[in-house]
This record gives sequence, structure tokens and C-alpha cells, in this order.
Amino acid sequence: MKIALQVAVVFLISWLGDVISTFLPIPIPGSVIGMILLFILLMIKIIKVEHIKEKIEFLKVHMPMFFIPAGVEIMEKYDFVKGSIVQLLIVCVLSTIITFAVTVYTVKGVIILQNKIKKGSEK
Amino acid sequence: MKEIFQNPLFGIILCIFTYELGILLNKKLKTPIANPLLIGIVLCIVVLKIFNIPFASFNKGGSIISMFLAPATVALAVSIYTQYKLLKENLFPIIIGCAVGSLASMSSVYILCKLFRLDEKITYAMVPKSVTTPIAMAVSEQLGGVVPVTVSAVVLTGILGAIFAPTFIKLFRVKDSVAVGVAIGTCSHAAGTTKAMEIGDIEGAMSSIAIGIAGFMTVIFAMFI
Repeated sequence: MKIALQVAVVFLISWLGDVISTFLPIPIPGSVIGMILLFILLMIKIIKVEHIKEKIEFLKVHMPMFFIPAGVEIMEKYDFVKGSIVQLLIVCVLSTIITFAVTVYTVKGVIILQNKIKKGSEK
Repeated sequence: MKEIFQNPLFGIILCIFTYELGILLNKKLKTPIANPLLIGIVLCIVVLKIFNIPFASFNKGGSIISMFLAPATVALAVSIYTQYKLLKENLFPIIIGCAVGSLASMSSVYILCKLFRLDEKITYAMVPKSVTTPIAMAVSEQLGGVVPVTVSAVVLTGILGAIFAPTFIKLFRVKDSVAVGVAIGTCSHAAGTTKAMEIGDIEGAMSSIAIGIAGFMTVIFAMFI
């Protein structure tokens, strides 16, 4: 597909996600709904990966860059955290490490458990 | 003089050039701290401060760059789709991992904030900081937190994930790609997922799924606070 059309297709799904999200009772962001939408469209083969390949590649490669303005905006919020910036930094760093560790070992543990149960039922 | 920075092109140019410079430095320096995203943010702030340019002027273009975040998140569906088989096989461990991880994130933040005797409103603002911004903002508001603090903490956490995910992997000696991916997405949402994508296809796909599931779990858990 032409690149402009690819852009339009991905933007359309993203926009539809936002539209649906405004009607939902719980705060699920439009981007997550759009992700589910695109996944469904791929599964039922209405959209094929080749159709939107270049656009997807562009978004994937540049994704970190899209976070720059949000990061720069922290500068504007500085007044809110001035008094406790060091504590907040420590909380962010420690809890991120804790969350990573707990999640990684939980998933690993459940996978091992699942495999054991599978093997047990095969016997 | 101020008007020239009002042009949206200025913010767009600054974001792209600082980011590309970040990629260049990252290749030269080869340390995780020289992260293109972090370098881009710092350089933008430095330029704005030196020339005394208000954030609002920069953000005329900046908001156009931010606008790409939602489509980029939507695009992650393609990675999930290509790993569909693995997702199906590991659906149960992935969901449990996201649930336990989100609970660990929220409770560790709460306990740490209490230890530092931080203000109640700041504490509640920090609790949902591991999930994607729109969810975190909604949860923070619901709990009575200071929303701007939430937004900053979410972005900072994402940057931490994007920089240190490979360090965490080494530190905790886990080789399972599914577990690593889910952990990155659960602890540092979409920003961390950008690093998971660089580490590998499976890691990227699992991290993408975790953005949604961990976000959802956080909303549910917040209802019980």
C-alpha cells in the first residue's frame, strides 16, 4: 500500500480506539483499545501485516523519540515535587526494580508449574 | 524574537535532532546511561533554558511528536500478532505475572512513600506510576493524588525501564524471553517496551501485552484502596 494510505489506516484505528474509550465506564486508554482492534483485524485477516509494514516499522523504530516532549514536560511540573525530589526518585528506582523482579520470577515460576501439570496429565 | 519559536516546526526539529544526536552518542559511548531518549530530553531542556524559550512554545511542535505515541502503541499489536502462538501457550503465566507485578508495584510504592513520610496526596499520585499515562492519571485522580506528580513519575519510570531493562535482566539472571518481556511491560509500560523491542521479538510482544493487562489490573486493584 502507498505510505499515505498506510498512515491513514493506522491513524484511523488509533482514532477509533480513542472514540470507543470515551464511551467506556473504566479508564482504558484509546491506544490500548486501538491495539486490541488492530490485533482482531489481523486475526480475522481484514488487514495483513504487509499492508501496513512500512508505517509499522517507522513507528516501532522511532517510538522512544515520541516520549521526548512528555519527558521535557517534567521540567514544567518541577514545582509540584521540589520539596521531595530525592525521595521520589528513590521510590521510582526501587519500586521499578522490585516490580521487575517480582514479575519476572512470577511468570517464570508459573510457566514451570504449568509445564509440570501438562507433563503430569500426559502420563 | 519570541515569535520565531512559536512555529510548531521548531519543536519538531528540536525533538528529531536531539534524538538522532542521542542515537549517535549512544553508539559512540556504549553505556546504558547514554540512552537516546534521555539524551533527547536533557538536550531539549538545555536548549529551552539557554534561549529562555517557554515550554508552551516548544510544545506546539512537541505535541505533534507526542501525537504519534498512540498510533505507535496501536502498532505494537503487530508484534503480538506475530507471537500469537507463544501468547496462547503462556496466557495464564502472563496474566498472573501482570497481576502479581502490578500489586507489587502499587504496594512497594505505597510502603516506600510511607517510609519517607511523604504527603498523602503525593503518595496516592505515585501508586499507579508503573502503568501507561492515561490509566495512571485516571487512577491517581480517583485516589485523590496530585496528577502532575503522577505524570512525571510515569514518564520517569518509563525512562528508567528503557535505560536499565538490560541491567535488570543481568542482575536477576533470567533468560526466559516471555518472563523478561512481561516484566519490562509491567514495570515500565510503553517506554520500557521500546527497549524490550530492541532486545528481541518475543520480549517486545510480551511487553506490549503487559502494557494492557497490567494497566487493567491496576485499575481493578485501585478500586479496593
